[in-house]
Amino acid sequence: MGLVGKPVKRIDGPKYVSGKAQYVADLKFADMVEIAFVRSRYGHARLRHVDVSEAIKHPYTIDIVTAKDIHEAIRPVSAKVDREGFKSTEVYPLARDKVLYVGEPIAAVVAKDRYVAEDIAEMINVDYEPLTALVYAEEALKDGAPLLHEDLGTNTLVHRLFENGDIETALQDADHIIKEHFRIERHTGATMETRGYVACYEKGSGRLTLYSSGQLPHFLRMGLSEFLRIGEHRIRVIMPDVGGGYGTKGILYPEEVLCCHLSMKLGRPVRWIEDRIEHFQSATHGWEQDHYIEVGVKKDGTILGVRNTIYVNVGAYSVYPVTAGIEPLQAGGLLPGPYKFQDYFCDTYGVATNKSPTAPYRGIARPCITFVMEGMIDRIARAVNMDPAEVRLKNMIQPEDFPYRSPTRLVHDRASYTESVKKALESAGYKEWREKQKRLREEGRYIGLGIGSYSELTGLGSGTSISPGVDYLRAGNDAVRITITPTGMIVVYIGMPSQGQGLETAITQIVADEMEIPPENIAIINNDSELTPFNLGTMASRGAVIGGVATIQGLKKLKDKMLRIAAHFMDVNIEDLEYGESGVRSKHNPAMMFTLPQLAGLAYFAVHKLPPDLTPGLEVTQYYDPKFGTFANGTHLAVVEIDPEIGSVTLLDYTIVDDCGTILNPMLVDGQLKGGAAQGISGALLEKLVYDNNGQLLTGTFMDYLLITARDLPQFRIVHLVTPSERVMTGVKGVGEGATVGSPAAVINAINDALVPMGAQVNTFPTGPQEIFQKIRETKNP
Amino acid sequence: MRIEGKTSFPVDRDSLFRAFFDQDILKKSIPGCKTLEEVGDGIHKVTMAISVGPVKGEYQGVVDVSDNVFPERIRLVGEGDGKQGFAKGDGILVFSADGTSTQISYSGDVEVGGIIVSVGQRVLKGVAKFLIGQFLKRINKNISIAKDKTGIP
Repeated sequence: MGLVGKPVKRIDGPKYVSGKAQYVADLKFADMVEIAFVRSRYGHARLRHVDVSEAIKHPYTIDIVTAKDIHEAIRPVSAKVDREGFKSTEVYPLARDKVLYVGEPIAAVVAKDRYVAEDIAEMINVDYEPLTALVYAEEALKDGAPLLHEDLGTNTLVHRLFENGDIETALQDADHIIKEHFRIERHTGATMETRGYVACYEKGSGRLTLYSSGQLPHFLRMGLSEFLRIGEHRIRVIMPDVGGGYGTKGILYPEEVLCCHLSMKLGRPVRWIEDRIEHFQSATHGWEQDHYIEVGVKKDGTILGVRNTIYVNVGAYSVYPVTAGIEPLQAGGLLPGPYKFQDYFCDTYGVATNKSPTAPYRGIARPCITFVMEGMIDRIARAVNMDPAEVRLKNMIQPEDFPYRSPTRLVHDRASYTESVKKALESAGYKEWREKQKRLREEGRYIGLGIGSYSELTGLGSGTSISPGVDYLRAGNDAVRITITPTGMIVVYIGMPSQGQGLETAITQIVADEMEIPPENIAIINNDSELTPFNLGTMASRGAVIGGVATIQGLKKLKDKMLRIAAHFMDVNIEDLEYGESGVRSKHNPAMMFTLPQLAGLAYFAVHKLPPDLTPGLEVTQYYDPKFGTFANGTHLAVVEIDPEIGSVTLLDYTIVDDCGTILNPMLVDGQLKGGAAQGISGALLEKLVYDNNGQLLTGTFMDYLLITARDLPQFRIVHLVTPSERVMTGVKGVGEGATVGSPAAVINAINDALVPMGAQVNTFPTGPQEIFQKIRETKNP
Repeated sequence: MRIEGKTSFPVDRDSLFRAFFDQDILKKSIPGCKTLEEVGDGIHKVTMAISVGPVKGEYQGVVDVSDNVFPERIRLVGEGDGKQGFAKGDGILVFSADGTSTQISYSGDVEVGGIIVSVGQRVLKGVAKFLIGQFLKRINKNISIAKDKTGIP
């Protein structure tokens, strides 16, 4: 039938657009009670006393807990890291003697509904002794800075030096050394559905079921088992329909542990649904980084070496399971991107501050390092007076260089780095825009062109840890379980969860093609720790890469078995049979055929007639390990106009050239690209979590934390290049994060290109009218 | 958050200064004032109901005006706390005579925390200035009422 490669509509689409999706907040259980939290109003304070004496007397209080009530039942949540330079922290689900960020939970009130619970929570009095809050990483590194975790003796949770070649010589040999400080502000996933949990403990069976709006069903089960001290086999984690994850839901949260604990204690379902202020205050943030980078280049634009110091502000705690290491390590490890240089020195710090903990956020560090590296490429171009596209083409890993080993020891498989740049220039009409730019400048208009080119390591397997030093964050253990039911329907239980990406549709297409059956006969089951094989969860753009191959390999095994069953019952040689037209038929006589339902019937109900070496049923569990992952890549090209009078930015034209290898479903891929680019552009121009110097979050609503809307975005011109992965059987490379990686660099480079004639430059992400206007004014009146 | 401003009053300096120590006038003038009680020399306990943007709440606070020089200046040190947030402030009111009228210039630093700042920081400064303006306007009004009652011109 050939569904793979076609723009098949999402099988779960109708549910989402007709309001039939079931999110955690839609679940109803008899006897369910709700939690409201008392949260810290200080960034850093000692807790002198938490007085619940009035609240406990309220007639509608079902339960109130503070740290002292739970410390015996719950172990602190902690991700163990076994590596020098790395520190673990202990997160108490309710703060004990200190609070480390605004929004940290201190007490939980249980009542019949949230309204009552909040009223009771207001009766709890917390006596704080405010301490000096640290809001910037570099401030927290200074001698004598207060310590967040006194027992660690330092605020540095992660330190790693990436070193290759000889950076000193490279910089000495350079004709130009270009230095810059880049800052990436704090962002957050701002998922449309906030976090939400319902924990149901059955006292009779001793089993705990957690419904969570999350990304990691199996890790949650593992973590809950460890921190609640109950066997993993008694825990089930189900993720109903999830309204966006982006990494923000990619950890085990203290609130989840607490919901489970209270359900176990009270013997009834306990629910907590995050409100939007709680989301901004206490759901994880991402990306806050400072880079002090210098690049040595020759007159002809050749990059000789890069030296960088990165400070990542990882917030108050190192989270479970991904740790505070994942962002800094990926920042230092992936900075070289698609560029070819070997002399590299990058000192990378992950520093604790009095802000909400950070975790991966769409692209992890890549949107930041791409912004930094691509920003440097444009600065090099200006220094050596070359076109920025030429500098890219000159310094990129060339087609003949693959496989290419990066200075951080990652081996790039074949990608289309230079081709993607050329394609972007051609598709966007780069030359024409450059001419137009000149012409319009004479009319007093400021147009800018910006390129954001990136490489993205996706589909990681056992060969590269997702977060070095964390044993259990090594992939390669992804699996699918496939069952052909007695009536010949196919159910694929896939460990990889989904938060709306459309993975179910892609897998359905693969099964439909492989088995030559209509999509209606296929069901995909995921988001359930009990039904599906173990899986690390949604991270690092692995879904289609790994799930797709495992599915095909598993189906091949089932086909083999069906051939054997057919050979036995037809009494012919297996070599004379083939799978085709959704059944097994004779190569010589097409009339001799067993359909899929017939074969399934035989496998399940003619067990007494099966040969002794054939097991009954049709079921297989298939693992797939892509070992080293595969490099996807792309180039974004943005055209902007700046109004120097008010500093505003208008996007005039936007081109996305993406290469995610073989495309399973162009509609899904384009959806990822459009959404990813919108999220990246929004991050580059608007989104910024702001704390004041006392650690108070100033952006607690969507009026302060701005998201872009379709109104401010141009139509994206999407161009596909297809360089099938050499490492993955299907040729597929990941696509979930790519567009978020390339877009901030493209947009901010375009802004800087437009600012060149005024002698102004911006180096923060996001930037916006205020900063742009300021920079223009500074150059006018230095 | 830095707050500064000045207001003129058609009242002589001594009377205006005294009004700031008159429980009755203060109680009527402080916006949303529910209770006001002098608990020590120049130290007042006050309960106020205030809305900052969407966040309504009741705040308990202590205001210390014991550091003052008659009739020139009052140092105002205050701390307020409610379910939706807290504020701490330290400011100075300077009274300067201008014929029969008096000008008050005020300046101070206020530190605010909690939900009110996460949700309302955009409007916070505006609200603070509005409340101060309202307070001073009412002081002015309540002085005149007090004068009428006592028959002093």
